[in-house]
Amino acid sequence: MNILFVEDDAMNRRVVRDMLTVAGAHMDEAHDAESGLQMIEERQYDIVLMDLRMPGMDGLTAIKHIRARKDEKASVPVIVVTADTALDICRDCIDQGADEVILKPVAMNKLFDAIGRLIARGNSRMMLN
Amino acid sequence: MICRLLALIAFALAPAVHAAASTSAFDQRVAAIRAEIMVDPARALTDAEKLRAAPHDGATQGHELATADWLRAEALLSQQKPGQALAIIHSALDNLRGAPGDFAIKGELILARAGAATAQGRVQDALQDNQIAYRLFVRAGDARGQAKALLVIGTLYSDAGDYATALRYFDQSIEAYSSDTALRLSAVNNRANALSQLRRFPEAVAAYEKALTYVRGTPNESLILRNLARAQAEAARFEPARTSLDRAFALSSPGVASGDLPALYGVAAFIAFHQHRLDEAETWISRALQQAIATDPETQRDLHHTAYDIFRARGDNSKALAELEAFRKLDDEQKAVAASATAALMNARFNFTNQELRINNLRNQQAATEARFRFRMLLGLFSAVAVVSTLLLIGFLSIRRSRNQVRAANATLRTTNVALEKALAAKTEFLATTSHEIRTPLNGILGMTQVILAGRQLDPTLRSRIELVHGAGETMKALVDDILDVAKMETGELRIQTGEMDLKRLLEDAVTVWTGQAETKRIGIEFDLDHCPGKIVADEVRLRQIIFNLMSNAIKFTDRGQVRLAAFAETDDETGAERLVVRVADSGIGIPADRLEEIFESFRQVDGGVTRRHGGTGLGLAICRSLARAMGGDVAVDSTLGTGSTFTLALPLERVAAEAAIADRQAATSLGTAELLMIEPNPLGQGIMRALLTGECAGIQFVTDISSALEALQAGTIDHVIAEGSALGLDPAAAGELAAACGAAHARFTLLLREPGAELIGEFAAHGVAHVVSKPISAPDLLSEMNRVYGNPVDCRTIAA
Repeated sequence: MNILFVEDDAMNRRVVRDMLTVAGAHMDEAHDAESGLQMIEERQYDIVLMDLRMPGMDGLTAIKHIRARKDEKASVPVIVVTADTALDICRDCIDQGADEVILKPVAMNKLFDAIGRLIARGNSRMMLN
Repeated sequence: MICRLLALIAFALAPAVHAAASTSAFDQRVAAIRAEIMVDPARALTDAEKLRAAPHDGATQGHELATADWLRAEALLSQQKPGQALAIIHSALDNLRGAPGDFAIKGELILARAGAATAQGRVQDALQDNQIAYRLFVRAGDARGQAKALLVIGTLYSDAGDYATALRYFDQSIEAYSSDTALRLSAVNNRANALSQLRRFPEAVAAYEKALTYVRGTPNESLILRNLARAQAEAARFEPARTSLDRAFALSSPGVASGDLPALYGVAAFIAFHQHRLDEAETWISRALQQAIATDPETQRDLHHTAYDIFRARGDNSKALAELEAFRKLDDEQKAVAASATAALMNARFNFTNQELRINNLRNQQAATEARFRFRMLLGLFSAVAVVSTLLLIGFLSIRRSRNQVRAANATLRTTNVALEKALAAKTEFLATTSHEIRTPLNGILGMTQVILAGRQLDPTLRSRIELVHGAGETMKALVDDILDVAKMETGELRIQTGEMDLKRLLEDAVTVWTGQAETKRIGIEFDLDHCPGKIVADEVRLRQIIFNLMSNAIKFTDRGQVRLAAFAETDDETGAERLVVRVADSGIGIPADRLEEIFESFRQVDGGVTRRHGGTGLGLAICRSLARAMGGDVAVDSTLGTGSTFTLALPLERVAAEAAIADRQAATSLGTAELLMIEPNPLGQGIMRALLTGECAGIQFVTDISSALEALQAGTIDHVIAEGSALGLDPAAAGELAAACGAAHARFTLLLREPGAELIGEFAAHGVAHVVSKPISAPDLLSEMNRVYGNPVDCRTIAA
């Protein structure tokens, strides 16, 4: 499974990378939204994890760019990973095109449940290993 | 006499210009129904339902269903059925959840939801929804939608009497989109109305004149002309006003709407009065008053005001007084409506407790002013005819004075609000930033402790140390969440989400969690859950928060003795309704009687020293009470100093109907009725399986190794065990042992193996493992494989070797 995490904070990247390692999944990393979009352009991902507050382009704008694509990559499942607890942040993210929202500190079971839901929903023909 | 309600639906539903260009059969039907809603909403509803039931193309099905639902909702809204419309909107939005894109139809649905909120008088919700809809239209690049949302927001502010703000939104709406005449007409006319209310008459006249260019030859022409005439008269341009009025009369005479004429007579009277033609003015106003009942309350109020001016000028004091009374009554009613709308809009922006208090104070002052004014008017009514003229003068002056006072109070209110808004924005910003900044390092701590604890080969001593770090991190997270919760409660942003939950299990959890804490303090925990209801409908997260807070509190303030937890249902003698009571009693330090209520305030403990001795933010009880009240109940306390305190949570009780049936468990006959247990060490595997199987079975739980699986089987509630081969170390003997244990517990057993050869399958079969599913496998195939085992009786063979 190919997962991309777009996050400017190195520690947060490390935490999620190690969590995914426990599950045997590999994760690519992007330090900002611009390079994240570039990586989506070049490679095929099953899941994109996206921080909201980043220097340069913010996460919601990046999601907007993904959803505006003309190819099938426009519908790649996106999970927002944020420490933002503003009211309606979840609803706002979903309205803007995100599929799931996870609040930091990241709870491992919530992360895997969210990924599981998206895999099960989007790829019922995908082979379970 | 200003006409301000140009039917909003006219622009909301008139097909957009660009829609006509793309003419799929579906788009054409949508356009037809939109037009129909304005004429015959009942038929439009039937047609929209037919449209929904018609077959849809797979690729666009989601969009088409949502569009049909939107039309149904709009049709219901124009039949004044907001409740039914809301149900449809909610399910349509649920269906769109997770579907990427299609922001325009989401925007339309949210806009319709705002319309329903307006119809139900929920101004605050309406404002929020319009703002969301606006953002969605921005994302969709739909300028017409944006203009529509902005226009509605402006109208909300206009209804609340905040014309300056309304004006800004109308301006933005006009800027956003100009190709839709109906939309633009509404915006320009409403803008002119706001200018009139702000007494900026020359600008209003210019705006109405512009509006007039859009309505030539339409039924709206006479309405705009009437508005224009009134504004021209107010601007003391009487000749143009008469011309406009004459044109309006000319358009109105044949078969006009009944409410239209009295308003026109009123404007005529107004003009005549200001031109000092009193006879003419009286003729007009008498005609207007005869038919006034056919008009809206605002027009009536203005008519009475004009009538009062005219009768007073003619010296007909008794009639003038009657008109003044009628005016005052309508004016009061309309002010009250506007005030509550204003309050709701203010709440939508900021409503911290302190600020509400200040506003209430200002409102009370305002109410007192008005009460004094009313008292003076009563005096006037009871006086002799001889002094009526004098009193009228006093009355007139006091109206002006009262108005001035109200105006002054409003000005103070505005200034105070601006200052408060700034201060509160700073507080909210501070809380949000602090929470964000603390969450980031916590993510590092809790993230890594979870990763370490997920490892199976961990030295027990090290595990217990890491668990301690993890527990401390969780506590810290709970504190940050508490602080945020308080902020949310103060802004009214906290929401209760109810669902089915197991109350008894929650309370047993609480006992387990707190027993450890209590032991370290050498105090006991007693519990009485014999009469505790099992499954109920409540907000599990929030109920847990209250009970854990009460338990934590009780243990914190108790140094010897015990903490007792009891839960039971009781029936209210008066209403006969059932109530849930949860009681936490401690033998702690107690609370002085005069401070019992203080402990429920935020950031309060009975004395500062207590905080230092016992720790905590002092937020727990404030949160408990707010949550309990939000759920329709309360938390009360009873205490004796030095002996202990008893906290009682009382909530309305809603039991789950099927509770009895659950107790009487039947063995599963299909996957759909089965309780599953899955042995899957990989957390991602768990996540995928949970998503896949939830809804396909009665329930699913996960364990990571055989010994926990064997333990779980003891309860006798598992119907089917699924094991991941790698979790058993691919050991046929171990798998056989597990299969036998399943047979003994009357549970089916499925083993998942990755690409097994025939030889390996044979080996497992020899150990009594009858049902092996090989991977990789697609999700549907896995489900049908698992369903297949329900064709056979449970395999009770014993192990061969």
